Amino acid sequence: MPVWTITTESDTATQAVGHALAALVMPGDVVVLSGDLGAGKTQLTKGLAAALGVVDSVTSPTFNILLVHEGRIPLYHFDLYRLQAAEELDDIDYWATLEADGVSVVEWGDRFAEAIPEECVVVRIRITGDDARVLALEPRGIRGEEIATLWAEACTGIVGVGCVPDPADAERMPGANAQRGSDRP
Amino acid sequence: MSQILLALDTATERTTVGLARVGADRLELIGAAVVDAPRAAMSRLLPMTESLLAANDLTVAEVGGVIVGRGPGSFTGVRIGVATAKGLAHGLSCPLWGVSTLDAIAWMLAHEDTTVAVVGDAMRGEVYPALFRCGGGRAERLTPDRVAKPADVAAEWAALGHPLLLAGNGLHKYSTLFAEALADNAVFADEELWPPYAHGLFGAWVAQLASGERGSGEVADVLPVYTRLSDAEEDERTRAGLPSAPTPGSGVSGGGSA
Repeated sequence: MPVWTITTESDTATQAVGHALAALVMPGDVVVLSGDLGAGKTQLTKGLAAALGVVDSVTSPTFNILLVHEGRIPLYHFDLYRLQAAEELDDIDYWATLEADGVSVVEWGDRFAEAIPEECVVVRIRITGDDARVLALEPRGIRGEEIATLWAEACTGIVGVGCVPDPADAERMPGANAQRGSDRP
Repeated sequence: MSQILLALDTATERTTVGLARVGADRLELIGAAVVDAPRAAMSRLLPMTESLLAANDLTVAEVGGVIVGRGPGSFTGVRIGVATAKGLAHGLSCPLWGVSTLDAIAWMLAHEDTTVAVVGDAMRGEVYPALFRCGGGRAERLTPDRVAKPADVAAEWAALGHPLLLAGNGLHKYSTLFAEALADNAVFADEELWPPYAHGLFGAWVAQLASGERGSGEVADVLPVYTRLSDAEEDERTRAGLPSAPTPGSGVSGGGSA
């Protein structure tokens, strides 16, 4: 059950959502992205990278599996699409990297249950129109909830971005009232 | 074999190398180097080894035996350390021995007359706990290698009801948890002694020789200790009707002799 639902109406807006994440992430934070090809996983990562001060271009690391970008803190950009089995997560030093000195973004992270850490935010991106997307934020663990809440707050007021708490979860989310209905584009 | 031994360990964020000379009745540590190289052991290990040899007017050809910390620790770290050690020993046609990284940590505290509790970081919210009876310059292992949740280990150790001297890189994440669970019985080693050092690797190796667990010295016989499924994960697999998971990778020695 997602706790927050973010809507974007363009690639630029999706990047802006990534941008909003940059200010609040700390070393060890993990964002798992899922969604079809073209859903905007890389757009989101581009926005995050730019706001972290990354200067090199960000592309989906489909063939590299992991690309490291130096920013305010390192950005570890994974794409697990080409992994065959969860055991291969060890081969790429997945756990040590996630728990290291940077923020990790994991595309196709939901390929393996083991790849989703106890503390993270899972973002499921759905294509709802040519350029329209719905991003469901599913926090895991205490830090996950913290990131999701702060992220959703940071998204309010961005042009082309809508952000609503999931009604079923709204009551238990601290600060949810402040968000409700105040942030439609 | 020549009289020079090389020891190395990259199972933790601390890459460590050391050189010792085999004396008549003891090993003499002739040089050691450490560097904090998280996920960078690959690029640091060999240059460090080369500098250490050069600083002691030695060449790699003079190394007559290699000792490697075979984990448990970071999967990739253990793999780099063991693979590099195997490559060196094979190329030099010299013996290779493995010692436990946790033992090496305990051996740095061998002069403390107490029970030493080593907490290795297993990542994913788990640790490698091991207890040692230390004192008189020796560290005797009391528990086998395993993977466990830090809270369970802390509760278990608190129930022992006596002081424990804690070390290991897992404490960077869980020192508060152990301090709270063990209260007055928690004594923390100097943070500098949480990771393994060459001195500890040599100590653990000498003890292994003395105990008769000498090992063959054959390169192929030294196996890494990789992470393996915790009890909880094994239980889950059993419940789900799955076969017991194979230990990952190319061959694992889980418990076994060090």
